[in-house]
Amino acid sequence: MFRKNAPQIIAVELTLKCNMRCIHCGSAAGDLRKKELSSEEWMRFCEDASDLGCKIINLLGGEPLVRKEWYEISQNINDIGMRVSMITNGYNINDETISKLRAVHPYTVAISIDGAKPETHDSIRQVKGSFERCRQALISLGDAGIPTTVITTVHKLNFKELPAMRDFLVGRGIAWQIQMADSMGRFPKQLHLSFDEFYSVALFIATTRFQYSVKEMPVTGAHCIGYNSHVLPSVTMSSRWKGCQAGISVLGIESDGSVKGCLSLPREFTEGNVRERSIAEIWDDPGSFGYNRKFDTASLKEGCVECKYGRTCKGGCLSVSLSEAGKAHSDPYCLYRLEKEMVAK
Amino acid sequence: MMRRKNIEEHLYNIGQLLEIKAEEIKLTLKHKKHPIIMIALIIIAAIVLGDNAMVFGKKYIGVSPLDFDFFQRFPFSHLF
Repeated sequence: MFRKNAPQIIAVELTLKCNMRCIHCGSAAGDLRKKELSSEEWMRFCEDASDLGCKIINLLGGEPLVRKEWYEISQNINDIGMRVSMITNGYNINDETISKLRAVHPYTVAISIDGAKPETHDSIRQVKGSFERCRQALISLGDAGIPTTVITTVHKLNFKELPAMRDFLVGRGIAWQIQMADSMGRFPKQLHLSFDEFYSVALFIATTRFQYSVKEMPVTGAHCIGYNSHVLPSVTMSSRWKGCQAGISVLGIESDGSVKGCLSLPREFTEGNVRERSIAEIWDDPGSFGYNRKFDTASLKEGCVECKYGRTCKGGCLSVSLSEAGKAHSDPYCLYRLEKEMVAK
Repeated sequence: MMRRKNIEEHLYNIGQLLEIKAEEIKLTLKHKKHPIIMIALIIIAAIVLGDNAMVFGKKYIGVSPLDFDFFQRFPFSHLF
């Protein structure tokens, strides 16, 4: 069946089990989720995803490398013609892992680093010595020629270390994705960035992009940073925010088979389970992902009502909107909205 | 149209949170070009450079238009 809009990328929570206890973890990962999919079920799902037209499976968790079958699943993804990427905390990366990763030709391996100082990273991740292991993992991955990315999740405890992190990363050929911690899972709300702090992070990305070439320091803000600034050049990968892509071009599968448009969305946004219906049935269901597929500007809430960008923006990141504003389509962490407030002051 | 000067002054204060100098901010903001001007510049450059665009990009910018590696490093990059 030809599908005009197949998911380009599916984020797969391979397991909720994790060997760290990060204070900002939105999934509150640690222990296994109840009734996690078996390897055979994951392989069957991947075949269905490939038939659906998906091109990339992004393995994450929890911590994907604590699931011992990660390699077989990754090989299977390759064998059926899709590409693998991975987001890992880097703690389990050793020579054996690297040789297996090389064998599956990952699109990228992203390691989470949350500070320039070992004590900052270790206290956020709640594992002593984790910074040094991550640093070593980054170097080893680079030496092995594996495309590598650092993902930094910013909040009050670490955002001031961004300049020092840049000094460490610049010129190493490592891409850098900066994202904001949301008030969900284990993350304490009081550590969330203020609006000025949030804007300073966007400003940091913009000035870094101006100062360094894309070869020296490829840096981007994630989906939660940006939206229609009239003052800053783009701080994300595209020049214009195209609205939340959950259920439009991305999908998320939890380790028990629950399907959501995006793994950051709450459980009530579950559209089905791959144990009960195939991923194609869920994707093609006209009732699925209505919050984005049937979006109209009447859905916009406080702060976004009558915004001239509302039709395409859809009120920013749905997950941030729900966690920070308590309602959909009303993300208060919007550069355009903040700039309007600056003018009004 | 927003009063850009008001915003710029506010941004200099915000930039201090991450030790971003006012001069850096000023240069970055000035760097913003109207999209139509950017498109026109790209079209003119493409016409002038022709087949040499790849060579030029590689030599002077460090990345040729075909070097998509850098733009594909981010797990969700193509969605933004």
